[in-house]
Amino acid sequence: MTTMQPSAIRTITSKMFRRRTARVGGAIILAVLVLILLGPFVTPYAPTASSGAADLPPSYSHPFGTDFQGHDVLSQVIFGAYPSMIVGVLAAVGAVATGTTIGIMAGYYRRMEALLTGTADVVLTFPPLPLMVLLASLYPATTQLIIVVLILVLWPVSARSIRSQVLSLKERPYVESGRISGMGNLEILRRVIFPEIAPIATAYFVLTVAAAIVLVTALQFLGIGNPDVVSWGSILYWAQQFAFYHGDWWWILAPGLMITLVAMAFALLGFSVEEVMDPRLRASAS
Amino acid sequence: MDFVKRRILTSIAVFFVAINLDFILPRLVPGNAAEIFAGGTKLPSNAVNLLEIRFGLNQPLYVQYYLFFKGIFTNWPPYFGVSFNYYPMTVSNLIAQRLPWTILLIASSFFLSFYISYLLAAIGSMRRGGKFEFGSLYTSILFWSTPAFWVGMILIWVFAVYLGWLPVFGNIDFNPGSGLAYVASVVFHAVLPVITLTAVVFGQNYFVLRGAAQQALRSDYVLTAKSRGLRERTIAFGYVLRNSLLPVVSLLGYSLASLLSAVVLVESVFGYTGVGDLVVDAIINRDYPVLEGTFFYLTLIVIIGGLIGDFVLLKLDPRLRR
Amino acid sequence: MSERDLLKLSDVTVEYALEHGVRKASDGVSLRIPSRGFTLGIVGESGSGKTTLGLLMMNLIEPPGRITRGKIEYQGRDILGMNRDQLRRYRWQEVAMVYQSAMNSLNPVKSVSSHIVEVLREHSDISKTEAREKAIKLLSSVGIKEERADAYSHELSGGMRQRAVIAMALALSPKLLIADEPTSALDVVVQKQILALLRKEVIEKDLSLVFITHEIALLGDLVDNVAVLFAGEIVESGEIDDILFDPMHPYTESLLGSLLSLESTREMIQTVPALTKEARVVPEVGCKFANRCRYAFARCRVERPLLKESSNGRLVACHKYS
Repeated sequence: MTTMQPSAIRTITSKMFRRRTARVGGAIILAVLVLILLGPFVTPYAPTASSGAADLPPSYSHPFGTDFQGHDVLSQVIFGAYPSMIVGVLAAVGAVATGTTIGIMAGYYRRMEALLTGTADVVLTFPPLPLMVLLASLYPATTQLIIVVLILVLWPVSARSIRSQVLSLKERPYVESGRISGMGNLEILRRVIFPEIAPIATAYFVLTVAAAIVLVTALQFLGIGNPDVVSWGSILYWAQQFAFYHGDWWWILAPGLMITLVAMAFALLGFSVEEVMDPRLRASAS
Repeated sequence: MDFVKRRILTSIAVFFVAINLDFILPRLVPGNAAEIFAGGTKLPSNAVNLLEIRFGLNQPLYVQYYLFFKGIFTNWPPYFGVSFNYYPMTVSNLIAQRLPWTILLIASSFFLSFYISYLLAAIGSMRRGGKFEFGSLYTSILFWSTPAFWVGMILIWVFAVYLGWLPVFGNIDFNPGSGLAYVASVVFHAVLPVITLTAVVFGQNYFVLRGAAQQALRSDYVLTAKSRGLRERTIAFGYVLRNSLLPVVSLLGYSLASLLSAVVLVESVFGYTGVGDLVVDAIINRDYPVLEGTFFYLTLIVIIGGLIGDFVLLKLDPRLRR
Repeated sequence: MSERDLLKLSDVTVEYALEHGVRKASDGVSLRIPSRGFTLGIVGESGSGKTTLGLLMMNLIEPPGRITRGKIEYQGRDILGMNRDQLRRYRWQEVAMVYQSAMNSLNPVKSVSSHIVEVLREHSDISKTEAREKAIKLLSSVGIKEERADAYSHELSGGMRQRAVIAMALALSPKLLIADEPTSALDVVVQKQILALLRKEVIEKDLSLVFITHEIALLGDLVDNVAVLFAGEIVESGEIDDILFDPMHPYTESLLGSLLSLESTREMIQTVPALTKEARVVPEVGCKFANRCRYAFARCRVERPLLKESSNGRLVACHKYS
């Protein structure tokens, strides 16, 4: 019960990967990471160079065919992985860090609770995408801005959940006894509350990465951020305008498939953490 | 009653803050509509100034603020001024034109996805564990992870371009005819967007419903229900699902928020002229009044949805009626 | 009439597959309820497998628990082999159960009377009005007035809830009633009322009763026979007066010895030998009580004692008597 931070995460990870859900998810992410890191060296074509005839269907030399300008789609997908994912991961880190902090404060300090919860509710009342599009148009849409905008929109979800956890934890006897034995608030937070919410914060982190990646690609699809920078969303930005007329279904399929796969991988990971925390959620009676 | 009062008060407070943000946010965007209206052309500065006056942009902020609130609360429907981009259409007219279409999409997909989730959860509750449960869980995670706009594009490709069964874009045909032909046209154009939206919402809702159902299945009151020799159907619907609905219903407002978010993308992909499409349009063109108006209605829908959810929750959960 | 027992458990073993290994909740348990009107108390500490026995009698063991050995027969019919329909008719019509936590065993969104109505209508072709009348009558026979019949479980006091659950158990006039610690969560005064209620019903309706508890003191006025349960095994059974005044198994001895009366002096108080870490471990081989037994000798650590009839007609599982 005291200072079990390191081992709590370790136990969760070890339990998690015994489940098939986590293994599948982890495998996919690993594969994508390999793709991102090694891909650029392996592909013979540059994504923006005309490497073949236009509108070629998938073939041995172009596994995902070419787009309307003769660019190899597979290379685009490989090079587009990093911009799409890095923003998602960074945004998720920021969002969950903020959300957890605010959630803990809201749950633990009663004076702040109304204000913080109210703010979270206000943010949640706005449909995320329109809000993000609006905020992203404030300044030239740099990557940093997009990350900030994502954080602003995503923090309330984890905050609400963490807050209710902390609220129920506060009532537990061992918090009371901690206080009686003279532990200051910070110490209670560090030694008792934090280890208890670490699992759920982890689950939220992973799930937020998934959500963030999907949202980022949506923004890229709408043309926010520079559509000339190759990313999964921007590939679809161009595809939406030209693929139908040119009949290039592979151009549409490839990037979307990647987005789905990666988001699903993170979602599976996140779900398996939840499964570990609450064995009742498991699908099969194991 | 205490619950109801609290919820209404909170909702009003949240809505008020949201309205204020509706005012502030559009004005944070650099460049004003007049400049954009003038385009890149070299209009003389006094022409731009005239435009600014016409649009009311030259007035001090607090005057704009006052006019903004006056417009909303002293008129019915709330008056947001005239659209910069669709001049001289009023914002209200513009929205009135487009809102029904969006509501068509939202309502259809919402109810459809709810119904499907409910059915799947019911079937899943009656067969403990097994491949069905497993499969439906993975399917819902799959749908949750799939970007809405991509699903739309794929559907367009398969059904509109390749098979040619359904129209590629738009709300209705150019010459829809009347009566049944009109309705058919509407339906045909709505099918793909609704399917897309349903998939997106299903991913989110089913997850929560299933989680709650799993919890309920392992609970004591379900075990005792079995011990009383009740039929599986009775237990699935009266015990498991009935109690699993509660968390889903309490999230109604937030479900609507993400549904509205997805609608923007879907309308964009399908060229469907609804409110979502209008929002993006307005942002690009710095059309403040339209932005104010659309955000107003968007947040209003979410808040009303939340209140409806709470009201339904009150009816469903006797523990709240203290 | 044939010599068939009402309920008979033969050498039943239940295993739970947990993350850290397999645990036997019941280990070769054999019990007999010979006829109607036969009352049996089952005594054991927490973790001894008491609740498992109750669940066994209704065939409610669910994964991760499994019945790995043994037979359970109701009037000669094998319960474990029953199909779904047979089980549905068996449960509640022949055997019913009263649970420890009434709050957790009731559906939070249904009123108390509707639980009974539901049970009546699921098991017989009875109209809604008739069922409701019956339900109200049942509830009033246990002391719940008509005005409170439509209350929800969270609106009732602990005692009322327990009465409601008893009424529910008696709704179909079962032949056997299992009560799993029905009074543990209640204060002493209410406890007495509930026990009196149970006694009244048992006598009036000629029910068999299986009363499971950890407090042996409760059984004195309630049941005619007792079985003592330790670590999933029956270690002693016989008539209540015999066991209370002349316990044979060392565990029973210490259970009784730890009871206080106004007349006990400090020297007379016995306790079960200290539950040190070593003592808490249930040995794999030999008698399971050996680590806590003051009489343990060499044979006890090697050979597991079987439940055998001793010279005076009592059933004991202890090497002292063989």
